[in-house]
Amino acid sequence: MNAAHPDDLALAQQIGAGDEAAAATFFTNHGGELFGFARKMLSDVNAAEDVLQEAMLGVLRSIKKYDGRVSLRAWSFAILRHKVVDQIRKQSRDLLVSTADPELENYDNSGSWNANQSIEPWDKQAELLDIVRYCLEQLPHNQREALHLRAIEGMPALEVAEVLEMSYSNLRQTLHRGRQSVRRCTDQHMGADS
Amino acid sequence: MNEPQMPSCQNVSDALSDYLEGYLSDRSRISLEQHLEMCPLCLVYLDHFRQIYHVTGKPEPEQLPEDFTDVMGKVIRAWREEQDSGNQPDAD
Repeated sequence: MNAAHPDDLALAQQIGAGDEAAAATFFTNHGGELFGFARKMLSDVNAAEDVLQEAMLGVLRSIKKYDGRVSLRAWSFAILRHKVVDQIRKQSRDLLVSTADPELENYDNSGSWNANQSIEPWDKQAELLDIVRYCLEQLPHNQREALHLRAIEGMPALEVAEVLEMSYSNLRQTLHRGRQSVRRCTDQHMGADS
Repeated sequence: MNEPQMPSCQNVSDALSDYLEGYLSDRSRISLEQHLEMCPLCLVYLDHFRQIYHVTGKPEPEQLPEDFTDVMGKVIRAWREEQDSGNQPDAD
């Protein structure tokens, strides 16, 4: 099988052969985004640091299994994600996963907006970024991690689906539900008196 | 060829992520845009989605732990020691 990411495969083989400088370069290039993901998922800087350390060791221990099918970056995110989920379970916290569609109540039987539905333009542009970031933090875990990887890290959707071990169509639905939730939350805060 | 059927407001809102990501077929995109031309509520809803899409696409400043270089060095040394000793635990 041809590797989809031959450069990454070559780098992984270099690291696997014991090239510490290559490993250090890879982690220096991607440590920030890996740490950012851990922080967003765990909301605890010390736990995020521990998980990053465990994930880096996990990447090195598994590096010889890397086959170049997805990018080395996405593959590392997948290892980190497992560590994050382990950490959440260790803290006896529930992994809040949602597939619900709370938007359904907005429509009548024909699929048109309900007669009393009001959707106003947002005018507090200066506050939008902070409000959206707050709303992202309120999302169920599955929507938060999908939106973080796809929107904030800009990872290709197919790679995000690989990292999250879900089908492509399920990912698209999860992303959409997440954006709907962020929109609804943002709308509520945009309407609130400041 | 048949004219595309006009989608409902619910169909439009369900398709907005795919619309903004460019995943819709030409036929679906055209019928969605025809609906938007006639539906002010869906147009504002789309504008909300666009803003969410734009804002969440802005990368946040990256911050590494202050001692990242030290920690990374320790991790790499620990891995090399495992390799040298032949003791390689499972990754997960």
